[in-house]
Amino acid sequence: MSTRLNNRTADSAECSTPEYDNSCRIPVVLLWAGATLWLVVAIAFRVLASVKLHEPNFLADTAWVSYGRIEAVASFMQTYGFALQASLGTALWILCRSGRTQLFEGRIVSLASVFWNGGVILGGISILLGNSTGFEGFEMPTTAASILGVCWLVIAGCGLITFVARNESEDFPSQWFIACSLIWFLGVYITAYVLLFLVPARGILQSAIASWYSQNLSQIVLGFVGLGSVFYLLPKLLERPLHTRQIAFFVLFTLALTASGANLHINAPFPAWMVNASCVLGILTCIPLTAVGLIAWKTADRDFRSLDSNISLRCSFAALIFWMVAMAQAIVSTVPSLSALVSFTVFVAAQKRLFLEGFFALAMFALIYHATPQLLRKPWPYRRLIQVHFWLFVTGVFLSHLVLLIGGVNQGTLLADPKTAFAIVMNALLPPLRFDTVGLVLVLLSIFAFAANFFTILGASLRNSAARLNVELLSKESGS
Amino acid sequence: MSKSTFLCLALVFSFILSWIVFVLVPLIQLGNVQQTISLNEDTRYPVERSGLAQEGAHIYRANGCNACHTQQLAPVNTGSDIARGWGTRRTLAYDYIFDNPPLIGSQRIGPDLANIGMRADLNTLLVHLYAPRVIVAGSIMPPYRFLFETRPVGNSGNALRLPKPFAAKEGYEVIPRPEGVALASYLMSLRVEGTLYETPRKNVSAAPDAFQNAAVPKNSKPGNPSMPMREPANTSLKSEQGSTQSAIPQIVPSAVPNAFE
Repeated sequence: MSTRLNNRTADSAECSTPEYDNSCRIPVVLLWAGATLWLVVAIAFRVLASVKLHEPNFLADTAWVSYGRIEAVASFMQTYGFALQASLGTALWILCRSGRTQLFEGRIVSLASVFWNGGVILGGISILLGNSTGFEGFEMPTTAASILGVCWLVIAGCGLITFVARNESEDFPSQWFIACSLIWFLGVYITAYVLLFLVPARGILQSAIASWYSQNLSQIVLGFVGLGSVFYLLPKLLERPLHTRQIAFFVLFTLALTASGANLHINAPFPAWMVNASCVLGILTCIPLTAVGLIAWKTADRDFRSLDSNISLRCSFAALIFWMVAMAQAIVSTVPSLSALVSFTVFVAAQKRLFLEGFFALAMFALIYHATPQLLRKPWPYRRLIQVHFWLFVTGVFLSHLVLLIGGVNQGTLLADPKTAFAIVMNALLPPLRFDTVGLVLVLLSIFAFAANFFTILGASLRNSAARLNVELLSKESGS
Repeated sequence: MSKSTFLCLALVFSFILSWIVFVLVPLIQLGNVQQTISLNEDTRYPVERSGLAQEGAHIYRANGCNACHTQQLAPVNTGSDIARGWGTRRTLAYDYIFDNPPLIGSQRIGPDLANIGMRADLNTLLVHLYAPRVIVAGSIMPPYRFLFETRPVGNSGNALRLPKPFAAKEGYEVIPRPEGVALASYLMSLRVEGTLYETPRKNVSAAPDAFQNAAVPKNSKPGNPSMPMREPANTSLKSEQGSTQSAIPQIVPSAVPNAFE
């Protein structure tokens, strides 16, 4: 395999940059461009959903913009359009870079990434037309799900072949986090696809499987890609090793063991042993949580000036902090007595969103800010927009999270008292929901700033390539 | 053993362990459960939904009602659901065997609906879907007017009885579209009633008017006095002290309300 990959090196047009950058440039940029577009769309839908939650009469007469559909489509696009697509791009980049290997079959990967976006469009339209499956985290109907599954198989397959054929003998934790994530997704996705669509499991089992799937999707698949890219960037940009590689491998294994539960709350209508197993596993995630805390603390080494010097470092470190907060919050909502209090409140929604937006998106921004100028050989066009993006994004996420956290605890406390009428509980939730809209608007604005930067650098690079192609053609013509 | 092999084996082991615990064993335990006979009642439980109610389940799923409403009740000791009058017992895996897919939800922006069929009647549900604030003052549920149509007064017996600000203009009436009827009929089919071995119920006296009491603040007026809420069936529950069945009160089967009076 490696000889074949090495032979392809000779074909590369560019010799100034490493050939493995050339091999993955188009697929990775395609995947990240798609992810950026979907993030804008998803957050826009989320803002709309958030407004509809406290203004029930807003756009109430059109079926396809009813709250349930908008919420489902926002979650679907954020997970499948943005998160998983960005994961794939990140995975390919890190596997090529750390392994010093050319991407296996880059053209097929590019083609598959186009189809992936087709699958997301199809899924999104189907959900808006009322064909959602009703499972949180697995909203798309069969056709879209099949397209997405096949595309993942192709892209992840090429990524894993690249990983196996790596030329670098040293193993980095980030590679293993990412390789594990690529395979893990296939495992949980195929299980969910078969047991929810092909041979639907009986009754409540479908909910159990959907819950297990969405827990593994967020905590393991997205969590590993996010942690992998943070562990890739920290030592590289701080110019000192991760503290330590062994602890990072320990995190990998313990997280795979404990975060792969089903996240069932204490009152869920499942057999008691399942709820208890899920609860025990949830509480045990405090082991990897402590280990990551140790890595973050020791690697940063109180050198906050260096951490602040580079946007990728700042994003990575913020992502790591958000990850720890989100995991701690997940543990809180697993402890039986607290689980009963917060299980159906916006506390849980706040945790999920902090994980997806606060941690995962920031980890992706960190890597995209670091890698895109290298891939496209151009600096970021608007440096100030990068700062605007970071601060608006973090403020928005923090505001939304804080109000939903407090609102959720309040909602749970009020719900627990049967004497408090339900309308009072609902109306107590309105102020946090309004502040959440403000937070989401800030996030949307920040994403616009990010997208403006990303698509400008992409456009400039495309114009350059077109100009270079023209020059080559002209010189060929004049030569003949 | 090389480091790579060890890591691969460790990760495969974690995945398989998780898969066995949360997929395989539940499949073996619950994959084939069948209808059962309710304790001290000679009825089969749960009952499969009618075709119309199954249609309604699709409307419920399509519009993402489960984004705001759960269909799962907590036991008495770990939640206020029973005390709120949302049901008479906790929900169990058994209650969902005919649900495909089960729409148990995860958020309570609105009240739980696991047992809504025993708390409200069909007409009230239809009015609530058309204009939630008629039934629950200050409700933040959006109106689902696209499940209804407004047309010139005809001979239809199923026009909604709406109070002034919500009613259609003079000479017009609001009638539910087939989707609206199906959705309401699905909601009516949501009843957690069978007494099972796992849930020998204590005598829980639910609030006499559970739907309204749980939903309306005390100082607000009921929206539409012309549409009184049906008394929930479980108000007549009595436990027989001392007998073996004392913990398992009899559920009085509630009459199916007339759909369009």
